[in-house]
Amino acid sequence: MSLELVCPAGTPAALRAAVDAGADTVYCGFRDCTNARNYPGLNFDPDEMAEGVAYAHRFGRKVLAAVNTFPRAGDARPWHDAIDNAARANVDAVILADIGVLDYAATKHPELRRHLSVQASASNELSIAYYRDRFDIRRVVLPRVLSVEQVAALVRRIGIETEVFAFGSVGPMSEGRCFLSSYITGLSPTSEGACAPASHVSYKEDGPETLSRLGEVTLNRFSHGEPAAYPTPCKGRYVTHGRTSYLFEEPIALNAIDILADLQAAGVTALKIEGRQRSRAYVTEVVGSFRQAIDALDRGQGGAVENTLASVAEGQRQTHGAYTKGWR
Amino acid sequence: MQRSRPLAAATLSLIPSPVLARLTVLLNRAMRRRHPRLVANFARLDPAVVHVFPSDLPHRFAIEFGGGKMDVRVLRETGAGAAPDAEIRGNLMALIDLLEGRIDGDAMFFSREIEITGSTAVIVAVRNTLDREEILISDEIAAIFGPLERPARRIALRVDTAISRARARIAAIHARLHEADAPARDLSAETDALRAEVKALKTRLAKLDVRQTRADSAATGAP
Amino acid sequence: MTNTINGKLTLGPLLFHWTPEARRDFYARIADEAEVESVYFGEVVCSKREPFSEKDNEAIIARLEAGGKQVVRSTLALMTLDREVAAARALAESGVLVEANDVACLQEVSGRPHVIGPYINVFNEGSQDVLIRGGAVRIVLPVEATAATVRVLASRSAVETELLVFGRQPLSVAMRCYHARSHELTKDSCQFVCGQDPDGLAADTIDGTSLLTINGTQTLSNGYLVLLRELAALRGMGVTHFRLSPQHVDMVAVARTYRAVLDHAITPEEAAGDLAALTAETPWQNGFLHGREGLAWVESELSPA
Repeated sequence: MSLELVCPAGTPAALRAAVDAGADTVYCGFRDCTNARNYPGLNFDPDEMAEGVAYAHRFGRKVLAAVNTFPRAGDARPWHDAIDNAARANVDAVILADIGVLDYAATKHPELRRHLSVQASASNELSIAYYRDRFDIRRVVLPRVLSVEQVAALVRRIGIETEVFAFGSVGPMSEGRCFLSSYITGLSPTSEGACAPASHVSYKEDGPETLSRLGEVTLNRFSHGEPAAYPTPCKGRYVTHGRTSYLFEEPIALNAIDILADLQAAGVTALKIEGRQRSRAYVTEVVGSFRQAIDALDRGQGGAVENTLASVAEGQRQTHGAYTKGWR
Repeated sequence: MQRSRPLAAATLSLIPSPVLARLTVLLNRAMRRRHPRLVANFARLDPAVVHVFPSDLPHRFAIEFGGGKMDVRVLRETGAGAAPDAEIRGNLMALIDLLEGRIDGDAMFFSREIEITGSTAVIVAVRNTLDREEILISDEIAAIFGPLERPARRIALRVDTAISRARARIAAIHARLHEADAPARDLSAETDALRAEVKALKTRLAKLDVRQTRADSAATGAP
Repeated sequence: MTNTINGKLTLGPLLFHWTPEARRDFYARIADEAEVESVYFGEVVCSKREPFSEKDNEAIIARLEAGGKQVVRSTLALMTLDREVAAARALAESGVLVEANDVACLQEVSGRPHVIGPYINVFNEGSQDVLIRGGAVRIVLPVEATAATVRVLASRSAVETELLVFGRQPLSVAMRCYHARSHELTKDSCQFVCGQDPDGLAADTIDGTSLLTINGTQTLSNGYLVLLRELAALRGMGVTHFRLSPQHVDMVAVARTYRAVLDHAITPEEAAGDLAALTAETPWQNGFLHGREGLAWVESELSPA
C-alpha cells in the first residue's frame, strides 16, 4: 500500500494548492476556536469547507476536518456545530480529541468517520484501545514522541490505521495537555485553539538583536539572520544553572522524508505534514517533495529523492525527532 | 510566474504619486470586481489599519479593513490621521512577494527584507487573508489596462535580471515624473490618461530593456 | 478528626525525585500528623525513578492507612514503554483505587471505581459524563480550569470534584527530560540529576525573570498555586476535595493552615500570613482560576454564585 499523504490547508487557496501538488488527503479546520490553529484570517467557514471538499473530491482526494480542541464548560455549541457542519460538508472524516466531542460525534453522526487527533495525546496501545472501543475511531494520529520501533509495535497491536507526522514543527510536550501558553497569556490552546496567540506575540528591536516576547515574557533574543522560531513557549531560550539554552526544543523542523521506507515498513497508513498556519508556497513545496518521495518509494526507488526542504523548515534545520535515537 | 515581479515593481515605481493615487482608486474597484472574496475576507476581520511603506517609493499606503469594509488608500507624505495598528516596510519586490503569497507567515517576522512593527495579530491576519487568494500583481495591473497584458508578459520574460541593474536609471526617471501633477478629471478621461501614461512608461521600459540586453550580450560575448 | 462538611483535604502525589530516606520520612510524618483525608501515592513523572524506592512502597501505604488516610494509587501521566503500560495494567487489575493520569488506565479500570487525575482533560460536561459513566468516583480538574469551568462542572457533578489549591502548577509532561538537557545529558543517560533539586530546577527567562520549574520530563510553574481566599467560593460551587501538592516545605503545616481555613477557624488573610512564613521566597499564583494567565496573582475574590 502506498503511503497516504495528508497535507495541511489553512485557507481554501492552500487546499487547492495541496490537491494540485499531489496530496491524497487535506486536513483543515473551521474559522473558530474548535480547531488547534485558530489564528486570525485562517481557516474555513462552512461554505468554504463544502467547496473545498467538492474540489478535492473532483480529483479523487479526501478532506478531513479537525475539530480538535476541548469545549469550554457550558459552551459546547461551537464544537457540536463544527461536527454537524463537517458532516454537512461531506468531509471524509473528522479529527477529534475531546472525549465529550468524540461521544457527540459517535452518537449524532455514527456514519461519519472519526480519527483521533494528536491533541488527545494517545501514546500507547491502551489509550488508543480506549478511544477505539468506545468511539469507534478508525485512525489515530500518533504523538511526535515515539520511535519507529514503537510505532511498528503499536501498528501491530491496535488494529486501526495510524497517521504519523512526517514534516513540520516538532512538539516536545505531550500535546493537548500543555498549559505553558495559557500560563503566560491566559488564553488556552486547549479551548481557544491557539498556542502563542498572535495577539500576545511581539517583537522588539534591541540594537543588533531582536527580542521575541509572549505576553510579558521574553522568550528569545536573536541576531538578524539567525534562525528563530515563532515564539511558542517550548521554542524559547531559558536560563538554567546560569546557562542559556533552548531548554525544550531548538528552532528545528521534523523531516522524515529520508526514512519513509522505515515508516512504511512499520505499517504506517498515512504521513501527516504539519503547518496549517504556513503559506501556500510552503504547502506546494513540501507536498510536492513528499509526493515525489512517496512515488519514488512506490517504484522501489526509496531514498532517490533529494531532500530540498531545508529552506522551508523551521529555523532552516531538520531532525528526525523521536523517530530515531538521541532525540530524548 | 515569479518573473512578473520585477516588471510589476518597476512599473509601480515609475508611476508618479498623483497618478498612483488615482490608480489606487481603480485598483480598489478592480479588486472588488476580480477578488470579491478577498475584500469580503478582509471585511470580516477585526477592524484595523495597516500602513505599508515601500522603501523604494516616496508614497505609503493605508489598508483599512474590518467591520464589514476594506479600502486601500495612498497617503500623502505629511498625511496625519489615526496611528496605524501595524506597519509593514520593505522594498517593492518583497511586498509583492507578500501580496502574492510567497512569504511564509512564520518567516515574515524574521525576514530582513520586510520590517514589521505594531500588532502581531493584525499582521498575521493580513498575511493569512492575502494567502487565501491567488493574486498576481502583474495580472491586476493588466486587468486595469487590458491591452498592456501581452506586451507586459513578453517584457517580463526579458527584463528579469536586467531590470535590477536598470533600477538606478528608473529611479531617476521616476523622480522627474513625480514632479508632474495633473489636474482633476472625470474618471473615463482619467482612465484614458492613465492608459496613455502607462503606455509611455512601458515604451520607456522596453527601451531600457533593449539597451540592457544589448549591454549584456556585449559583456558576455554572446552573438 | 477532619470536617467533611467543609470540604476534604487531599495530598497529591509527590512529583519530585526525593531520596528514599526523604520520601520515607515525609510519608511517615504525613501518615502520623497531616490532616488530610486522602493521599495520592505513586510516580507520576518518570518511570526510571521507580526502582529507587519501590521496596518502601508497601510499608508507606500501610503506614498511611494506619494513619486513617485513604490511599489512592497515582499512575504515570505519560506512558509509552511496554513496561509502563504493563505496570498500569497490573495496578488496575490489583483492585486498588487508582488515580488515572493517562487515558491508558481507563481502558483497564472502566466499570470499577477510580479517580480521574488532573492530567486527563476534563473541561466540559460531555467528557465529565462519559467518564462518570465509566466508573469515575472523583474527578480532579485540570490546573488550567477557570472558575467558570469549575462552577459548571462541580455543581452538576454526580461524583466528587477535586481541585489543586496548593503547590507548583503542573504545566506539561513530555518524553524528553529537560532536567537531563539542562545538564547536557539525555533521558537515557540522565544520571538522575533531577534528584539534585527536591523542589525542582528554576528555569528563568533570558532577561532574568523567574518563570518555570523543571522536574525531569515535567514542567511546572515557578510559583506555588495558592488558593486560600477562593476556598469558600469553591466549596460553594460544589468542589468537595482540595489538593495540596507536596513541595519541599513543611506540608503538615500547610495542611493545618488550609484545614483551619476550611473549618473557618482562621480567616484566609490570617492563613496567608502563616503560609507566607512556610513558602519563603517562592511567589504565589492563582491566575488560571481567575481566568487570567496562570502565572498571575489576583487579589480579588471569586463570586460565590
